[in-house]
Amino acid sequence: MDRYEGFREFMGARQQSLMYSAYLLTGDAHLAEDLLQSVLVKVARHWPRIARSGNPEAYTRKALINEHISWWRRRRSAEFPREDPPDEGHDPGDATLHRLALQRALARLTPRQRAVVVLRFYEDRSVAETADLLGCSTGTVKSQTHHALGRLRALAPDLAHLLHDTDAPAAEEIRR
Amino acid sequence: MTTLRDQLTSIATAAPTVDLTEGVIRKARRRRAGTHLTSAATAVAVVAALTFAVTGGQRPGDVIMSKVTDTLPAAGVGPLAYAYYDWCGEEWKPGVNTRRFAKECAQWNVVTRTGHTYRMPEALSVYTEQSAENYMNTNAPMVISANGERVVYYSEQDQKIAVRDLESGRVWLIPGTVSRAELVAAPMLLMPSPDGSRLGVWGRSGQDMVVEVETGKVTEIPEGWHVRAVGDGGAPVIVSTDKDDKLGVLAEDGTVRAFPPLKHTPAFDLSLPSPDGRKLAYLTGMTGVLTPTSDPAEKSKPNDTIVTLDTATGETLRPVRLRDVPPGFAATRAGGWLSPTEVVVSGPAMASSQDVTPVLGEQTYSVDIRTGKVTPLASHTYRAWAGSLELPGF
Repeated sequence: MDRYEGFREFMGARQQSLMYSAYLLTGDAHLAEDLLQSVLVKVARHWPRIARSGNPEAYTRKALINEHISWWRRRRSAEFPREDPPDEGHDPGDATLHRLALQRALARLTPRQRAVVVLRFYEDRSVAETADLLGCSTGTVKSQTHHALGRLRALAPDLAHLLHDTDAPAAEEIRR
Repeated sequence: MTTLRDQLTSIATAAPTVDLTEGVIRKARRRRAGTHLTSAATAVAVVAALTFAVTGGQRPGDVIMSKVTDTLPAAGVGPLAYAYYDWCGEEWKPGVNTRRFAKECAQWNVVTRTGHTYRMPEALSVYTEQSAENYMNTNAPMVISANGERVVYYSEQDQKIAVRDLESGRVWLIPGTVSRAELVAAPMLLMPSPDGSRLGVWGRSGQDMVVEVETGKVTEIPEGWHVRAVGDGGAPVIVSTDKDDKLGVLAEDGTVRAFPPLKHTPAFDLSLPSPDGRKLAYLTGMTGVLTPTSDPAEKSKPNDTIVTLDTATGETLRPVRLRDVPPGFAATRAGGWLSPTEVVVSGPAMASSQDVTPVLGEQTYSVDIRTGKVTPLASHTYRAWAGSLELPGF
């Protein structure tokens, strides 16, 4: 029996979605591919056990977040010399400029803050789910969210309108 | 109303399409089998005409190759952000293993502004027969018009330079036959106008010309002069001499009107003519070498001034000191224009460490020719030991 039975189907269905998250986490297409491939190789090696667990995607996403934070710690001096977003072409359109500004601001968050933004506001995960994926308490998720949004606001004042909708839940969560 | 999630989704979906399945399974099998390979600890990375050394203990099995499976569709492709090739992510040793790169992964890849990456098998990429002595002439030309809508490349099948409009898919072949052997022996510089409607060619004797792409009409450049920058129809064609870098403008009667001697020395490439055709810009002020060095005498000082010229008379309009220059600014080349007063400049972006494949690429900035204000635009990077990256307008 092929020990990778089911893995190809999993990849076919989920790898692009995972790539999107990896790209948001790293801000660089090549680093994202690098990160995702590194995680998926580990998943593939233990595929029978992970498949039996019943939720391989959750396992993979958790591994992706952990690997991202771990990479940053190991490589930040060598791998992230710039604060500018890589892999983005210039387009004079407003939407693209806003996207560029947000990418630049995201690149200047800490890896955990960035992970929180991706999980909460891109993947629409609850505080509890985010805490589980990050392996921390819900209180830490709330404070990281608060700090991340505050930093985005400071780094990219032009994007305040994007963050408006995030204010209420963030403030509410901090008070809980 | 646009939300944070909308913008995050917009960023995320700009990620390239990947198909990692078989590569991941191969690696997983290899690691399970406990196979570990070793490789040489030193590699040489070459980006365009710049050479710099990096060291590392990279294991070949760990090199991430950006496998691009999609070829360029026949039509309907949006404007390009850049083009690159990466020697398959492997270590390239000029004169030693060059021949082994006659394969798909060493072909030119083009990347659209929306993040889609396509291979271009019809465009010759690396010269697999190139000698070690001539290693700086590594690949066939690939140039993108400043608006990103047309690519210029060498079609080996046709033995001609080709211009392709990405949206319509139409391809025009430029008059004059060029053999692969001729290109391997000596490089040919191709300079499209901002919209790609005209093409300047700087090649061997008899190949210096400006071509109206869609009609094939050729204007030969007088002997001793070469094309340096081409405007769209009606805008000037700037030429230079080979040795002393004297500039001039091609007159309508096919003669060259020489400019007075430049007051400042251009660092490298001149910009394209400005949108109104009346100005040209270049960076100046750089000293020392571009590559990292431990020798204080060779420490480089980046360009610190932007100069504009009147394209009609060649008079220097104004040299302006750069300001708000970001850390690490190393731009040497000027290209297209963002607006009537902002020109795009570019310099190498690279990062290397001892245990991973280096990141290579280009960082672009806009420079306001009135104030000298520098604004970072984008960093286009890829992970490889060697390769080349081409940006629109450069």
